[in-house]
Amino acid sequence: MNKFTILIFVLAMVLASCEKREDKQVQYIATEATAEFSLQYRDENGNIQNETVQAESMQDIWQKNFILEQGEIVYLSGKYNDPQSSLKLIIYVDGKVYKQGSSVGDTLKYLTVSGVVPY
Amino acid sequence: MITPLPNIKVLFFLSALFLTINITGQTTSSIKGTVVLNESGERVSQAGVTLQPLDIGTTTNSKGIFNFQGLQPGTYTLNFSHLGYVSQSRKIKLKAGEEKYFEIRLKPEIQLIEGIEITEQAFNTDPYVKDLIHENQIEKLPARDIGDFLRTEPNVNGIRKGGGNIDPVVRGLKFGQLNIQANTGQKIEGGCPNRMDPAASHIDVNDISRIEILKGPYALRYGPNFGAVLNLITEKAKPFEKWGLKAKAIKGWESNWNGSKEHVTISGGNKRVFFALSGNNQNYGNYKDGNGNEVNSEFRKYNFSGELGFIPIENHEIRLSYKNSQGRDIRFPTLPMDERRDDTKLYAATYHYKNQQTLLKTIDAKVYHSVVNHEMDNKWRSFSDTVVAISTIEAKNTGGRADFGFEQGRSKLHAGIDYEDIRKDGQRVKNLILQQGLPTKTEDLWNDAFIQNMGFFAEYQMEQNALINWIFAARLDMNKAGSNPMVLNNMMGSELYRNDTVDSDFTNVSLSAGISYKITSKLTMDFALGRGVRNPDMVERFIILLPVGYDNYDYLGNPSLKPENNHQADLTLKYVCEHSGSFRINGFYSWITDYITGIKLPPSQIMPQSSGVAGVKQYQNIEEAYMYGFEFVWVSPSLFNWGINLSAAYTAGYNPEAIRYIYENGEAVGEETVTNDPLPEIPPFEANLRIDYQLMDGKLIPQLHLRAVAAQNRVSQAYDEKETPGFLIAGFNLNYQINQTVSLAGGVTNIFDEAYYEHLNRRIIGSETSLYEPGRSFYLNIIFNL
Repeated sequence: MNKFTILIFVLAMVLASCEKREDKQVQYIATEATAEFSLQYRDENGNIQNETVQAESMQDIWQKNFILEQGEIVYLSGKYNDPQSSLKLIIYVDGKVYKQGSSVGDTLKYLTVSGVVPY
Repeated sequence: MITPLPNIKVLFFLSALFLTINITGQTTSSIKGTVVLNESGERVSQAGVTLQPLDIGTTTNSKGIFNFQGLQPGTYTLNFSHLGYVSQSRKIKLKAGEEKYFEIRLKPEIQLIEGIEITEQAFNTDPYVKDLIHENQIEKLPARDIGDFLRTEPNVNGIRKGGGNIDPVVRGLKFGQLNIQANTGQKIEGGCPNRMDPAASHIDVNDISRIEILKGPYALRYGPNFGAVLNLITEKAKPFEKWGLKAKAIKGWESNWNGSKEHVTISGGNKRVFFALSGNNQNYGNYKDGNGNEVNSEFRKYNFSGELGFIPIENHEIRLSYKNSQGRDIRFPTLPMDERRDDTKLYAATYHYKNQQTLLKTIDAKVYHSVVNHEMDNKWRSFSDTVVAISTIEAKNTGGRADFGFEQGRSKLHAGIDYEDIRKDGQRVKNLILQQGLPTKTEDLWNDAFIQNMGFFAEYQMEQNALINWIFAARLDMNKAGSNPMVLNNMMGSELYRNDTVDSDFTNVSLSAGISYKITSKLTMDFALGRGVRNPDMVERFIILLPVGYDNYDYLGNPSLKPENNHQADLTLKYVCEHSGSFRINGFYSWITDYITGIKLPPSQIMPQSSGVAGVKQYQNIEEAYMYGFEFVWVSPSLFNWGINLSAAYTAGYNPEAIRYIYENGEAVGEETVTNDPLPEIPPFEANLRIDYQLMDGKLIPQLHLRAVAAQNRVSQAYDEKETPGFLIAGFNLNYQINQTVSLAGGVTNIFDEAYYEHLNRRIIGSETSLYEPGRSFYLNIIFNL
């Protein structure tokens, strides 16, 4: 084999092995509320966003989708004021539940799910 | 499970067994020899050797040895050639049944000097210990990391905190007590307060051409030297006689770590302009220890570098170099965080002048700039579900040196100046992810801290006669350090700690003297005496409440620390005989004044900030400490096909009056004075035996390596140091040079899958369990020389 064919082969192996950190599909879900609730979440740029959501039935779903790198912080927090309502928050990573939490009849506390996109 | 240290007699039995191998029975004529570099004595592999008039040829093996056998009596001419070196010829008259052995010394076509110009290990003429590691030693083993590889040398150890980035320890001295540099003069400052990225970790082990270890505080030309200089010389661009191109590539695998590495170097040019480009990639997973437990030790590193050299006028050489090194996801199970990202850039420009005709023989000048961007976090830790902490640090080191070499008659003088400016700034951001609004808290890890050092040095060597060499060295350092005020706030923003007295100025004097006395033609005695002074490093001066020590305390820096002084003596005996090999035995004794150590502060003064620590210690000077030890090396003669290298090393140290704190329910309730308390983190006695045998004219070399390490029972009470059991491990490797282009190096480390840990390995965080070393691992390196 030509010497420089060997060299090119080794160079190709070096370049092929320089992989990038993986991106992950992240989805925030808020559901199971029957009345207005407020949400706070961290977006793909690392900014904290606030949103008020009008829900009419427990089947209503609020969702946001992002592409995030492994190790990025994910954060979703919500609060409702109607004691008859409820709230369920879920963070999916690549279609699998990463964190979830639910609250029924507790209007005093924020419900928060958070973490880092797993490696 | 730890196995107690087996009887040391086993080692000597094995060595005796191999010594009994019959080495006689030469009946045909033969010519055998070794090709070495004229100045350094370094062995030259791949040198071309032809034999006329038979018109046959061969190349030297990895030990620089060539061999022609089955020759008829007569007159022959041997021709030696190697790229970049002056070709040589030698006429030989061969009698019937005669075996001729000789050494050929090749001279470089253009004299290139960078490095400390160490001559061969155990044979140098300076009166203190200089060890040399060649790249071909590194290629044969599954080297992942410089600190890891250096642990194969006598009295060189390392502090392991994870899979890579092992922090070197020489004769029990570490961190700021060692002067670690790249390519003679380039300093690199790691960013991490916990030393995830010590200086040596920023140079890829596969880029190494050689490593020079100068033990003791005697070599004062290369910056302040408290206890040892480690000079990491990387592959350099070299001039070619005619336009030429050369390449080297290594592809390696390692089973236990599921690891792989790639290395490529391409060099080329002519007599005036020449270059070298290199690249590396290392991708290692978690290893399994001897108990089969997986250790979180993965890491990824990749880097590239380039060097361009010019010789615009004869005797003047200029080099420009750049290196970019990246690390990703480097795990440290003994620390509260992992290194997420390392981005290092090294710039250097060097000038070299050499003229044998003038009184001023050499000028070596260098300017450099190193930038390390270090990011670490706790995202792989269970407590990241509550607080995600991310630290980012930038460490810069800018400096240079100029060394003027004069020579007249039997005297040499080197004099010059060096300068170093270290700057560090960094923060830790804590994201409280379970709290509404994702609040963050920002703390300064370094607050625009700096250390500047300007040094003037001189080294005078005098050959009194054929038997006696003298060497005297001195340096004067002017050191200045400072920082913005050291401040730590709590979550509410109020101050927990503040120190506005952060500036210091010192002028330090270091001196050394040595004599080398040739008692007989084979026996030399060296004696060296020196005082090396080092200034406190960044951590010791400016760290604000982080658990950076061996013990379970938050540490607080002390900008008012005084420099630490090492007064040391070394006595070395060297015996060199072509039939019995070379022996070197060295003993050293060191008296350290203003020794820097951690002293506990009362909780009323300051409370710790890290969870689970026992309190706060501040770096302070204590009156004195002592260290002593020895090293022994025997290298068998190179006359035979077999080779043995036996070494042993021991270091001990003690603090005459240490303070031990007495605890009840995790709280310090009192203290007691411990007399002659052993210094912490001192490695135990160890012995290494390497036996190899050359087959197929040196193309196939199997080697067995046995390493016996004694238990460490001399532990510091003041540091609550734990004893460590001894161990015996074995390794085997096989090197096969297929042809001039391709060679293989493979083998197995820790053959018996021993579960063991080194005394200096840190404990897994939150436990009393030490970080175990890797279990059995098979490896293969394919080396291409094109």
